[in-house]
Amino acid sequence: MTRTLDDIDLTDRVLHSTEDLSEFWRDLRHTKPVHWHQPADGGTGFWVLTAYEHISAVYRDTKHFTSERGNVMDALRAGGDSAAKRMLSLTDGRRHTDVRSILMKTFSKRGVEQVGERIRGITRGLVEQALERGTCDFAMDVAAPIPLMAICDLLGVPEEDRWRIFDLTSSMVASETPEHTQKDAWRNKNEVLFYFANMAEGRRVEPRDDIVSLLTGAQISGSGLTEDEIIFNCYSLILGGGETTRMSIGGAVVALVQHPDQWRALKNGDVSVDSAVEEVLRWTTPSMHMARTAVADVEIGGSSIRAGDIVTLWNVSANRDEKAFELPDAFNLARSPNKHVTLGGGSHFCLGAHLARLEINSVLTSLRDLVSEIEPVGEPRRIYSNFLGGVCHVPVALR
Amino acid sequence: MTQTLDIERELCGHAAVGEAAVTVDGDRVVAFVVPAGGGLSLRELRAELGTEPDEFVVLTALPLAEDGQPDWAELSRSRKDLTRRRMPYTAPRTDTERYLAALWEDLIGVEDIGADDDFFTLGGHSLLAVRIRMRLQRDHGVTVAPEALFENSVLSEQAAVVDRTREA
Repeated sequence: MTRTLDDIDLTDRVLHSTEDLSEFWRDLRHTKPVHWHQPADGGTGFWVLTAYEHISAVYRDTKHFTSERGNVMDALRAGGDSAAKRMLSLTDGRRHTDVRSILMKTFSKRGVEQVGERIRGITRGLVEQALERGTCDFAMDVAAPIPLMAICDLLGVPEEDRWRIFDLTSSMVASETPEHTQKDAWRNKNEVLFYFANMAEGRRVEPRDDIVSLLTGAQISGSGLTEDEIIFNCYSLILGGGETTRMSIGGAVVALVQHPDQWRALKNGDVSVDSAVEEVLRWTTPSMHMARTAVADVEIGGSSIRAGDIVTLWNVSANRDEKAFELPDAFNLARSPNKHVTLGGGSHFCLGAHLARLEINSVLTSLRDLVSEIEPVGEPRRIYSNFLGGVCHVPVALR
Repeated sequence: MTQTLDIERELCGHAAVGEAAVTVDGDRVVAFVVPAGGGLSLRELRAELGTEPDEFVVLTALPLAEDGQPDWAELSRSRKDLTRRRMPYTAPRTDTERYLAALWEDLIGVEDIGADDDFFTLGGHSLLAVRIRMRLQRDHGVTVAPEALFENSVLSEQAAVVDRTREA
């Protein structure tokens, strides 16, 4: 049965995991692409944008929209993000440009290539191990460690702390069970901030070749970043670097299993890995939505959005918009052009885009070179969240 | 009127203050301040001012009216909102309570924290809780679990947690 506007609550974190909302999104795109949504909890309502055209325009419209109060639905509805103006993704204007250029040294195409060989080596090793064992949980055994190792290498998190950090970050904005309390999320977030606060203190005294030292040592027109900026940005990097790509890699394997023709196309070299990476990004869309706040009255698609309104941008819908993609519901690794909004757009375009592409590329390359067949041996399991979407368990047999 | 302008001028010239607006709200001289970016201790700020306001309200941004001047009505609402979130003042009773009250005052930017005040109600958030944990570790050698701060958000309860953790 198609869900209608009246009986759906997009803030419900279980909904996105248990229901296929593609019909619902299609309906919205066609009937009310700019829709005012009043959630069941009676709290703050917000705009729901579902059309590709509108969403990509809002990403680029810094005149009418800001990220400085928060960029996800929950934080904005709670009155604003506590990291506002101190985390890069929640900073606009000059400060944003300055801090982003510091981090770009590490996250530019050339910057991430410094860890390229290591990531490709780790990936190859993990896929070989999975092949030897025969069956694996691809999400936990391959998809989780690759982005974790990569971002921890870059941040300078020592090997022995990495899986503890993973346990914490994987249950900050999402969880593996529907029963996940606000307290759990708060606790884990707090532990991660505490970890990086301590690490930053250490790096101030004894800098090393890593991002935490880069941030503690950085100068913008003569003064350093504030303590808050350093800690919140580390938090943002570990979450953005570790969690999203994990979803894309796990989701890639689910999609390849469900579309054997595409697996063969990849395997035979009929499609390039680069092109496949883009389709995996479009297909999996780990950041289901992003959000902005209007700073001035503006009209979109005939609806009047007022200054102060919360506007949510549903990437999951934009990436399946028939006006932007030919046969959007087909998983087509050769798709071209493929201008998905998985990595956002405008000035806040994903800082880790090159790293994410490198990681997904390394997985698809290893699968193509080392694996002849992928077979499901159980049902994939999805995480519970209203922001992050994807799979946390993918049992498969590799041959 | 000159008094409010004097205070405003002095505040705007202070390194720790980004923006400031001072007015008489009811019968009190109220200074609305936005920190410059680093920490802002109201206690230290008071000690350095020539003329002090009766009350400080710390904000993340100064609301502006259409003419570019401070939006006084909105500022007055922020102050009322903050007042509403305060509990009737109960002076901190133990050393730990007094230590925490001073720490909260610096971190949250609210003066005269009482034993019954609530960390979250006053705008406490994750990173401030991290700072509390780091300071407790440094000043008292006590490592408090984050969930203990979450569950015990009233000052007197938090002090009890610190005391129990220290004894354990």
